[in-house]
Amino acid sequence: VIAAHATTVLPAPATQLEPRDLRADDRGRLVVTLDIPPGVHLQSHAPTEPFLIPTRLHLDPTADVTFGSVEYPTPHTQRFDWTPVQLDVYQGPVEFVVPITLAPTREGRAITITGYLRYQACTDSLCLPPAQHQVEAALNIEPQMIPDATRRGRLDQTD
Amino acid sequence: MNTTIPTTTTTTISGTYDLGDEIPDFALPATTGETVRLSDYRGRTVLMFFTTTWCPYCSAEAPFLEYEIWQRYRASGLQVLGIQVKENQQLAASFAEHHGWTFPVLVDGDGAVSEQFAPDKEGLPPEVAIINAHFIVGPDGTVVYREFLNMERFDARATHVRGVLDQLLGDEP
Repeated sequence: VIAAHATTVLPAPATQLEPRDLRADDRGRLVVTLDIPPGVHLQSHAPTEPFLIPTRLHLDPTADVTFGSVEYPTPHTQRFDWTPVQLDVYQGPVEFVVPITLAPTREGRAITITGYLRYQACTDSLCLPPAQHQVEAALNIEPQMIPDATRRGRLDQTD
Repeated sequence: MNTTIPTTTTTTISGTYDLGDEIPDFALPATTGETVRLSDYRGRTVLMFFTTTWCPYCSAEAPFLEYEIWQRYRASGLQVLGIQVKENQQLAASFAEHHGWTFPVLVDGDGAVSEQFAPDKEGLPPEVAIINAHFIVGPDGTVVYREFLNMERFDARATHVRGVLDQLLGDEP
């Protein structure tokens, strides 16, 4: 049985910011969760065979947030009946974690982190072309807390 | 020579060339740059297979198409043609080089030729439905064998195709 069309095999990834109430200049992390249905697997971020499409999370650069390197989940090493080689794949729910640092600012504002998750999925019966899902995470940046000493120094300079 | 050819096990196919159909001529660029026409091989038995660079099944099958099909049967008059579906020329050439393919590899960049061969499989786009398909075209240009991806029977060593070629071209050279 052919499972489904490429665009419907996987649900859209979910995003979560940790902690939820980030302030300017804070560090946190963005967690992108993909719930891979049973019977479906994705090539890992570092496939064992050349030419296979690695799963990649890309985030669009923004002046408000600095992104660290993506921490990819540990793949399953699996041998399928149809190939003599072992493949590193993702199955089930997987998380992609990105350390983030918010830019310093004295004014709070709402921003949206955007990007995409690219992957190549196979079902038990066929492989589907490379696809990508949009990734978005809305974030309300709270104003930066300025320490009293710093504030006093700045006030002194303006006197 | 026994010419009884096993028919495909896929029974729900429509929208593709059937056994006995004559394949209209087509022309595609090869990874080496020249244009190749199917009619260039009229008078020979041609095995066409449809593949992509990103498909794990295709990578698994790739060495066997060179060493167990092309190298074994070329002396018996077989011509193998690989058709890269919706790939670009550079990637297709790299894939061919990596797997040591020495037969012509044609690049169907927009998939238009491959679509003509694709079975109608539950709404799958043609470029997916055609992947891993094998067509054998006889010397008169008609389809004598076809097989579509069937995971219950998928065999990266392509032994089922060898069985057919043994019947068409004589036993293994």
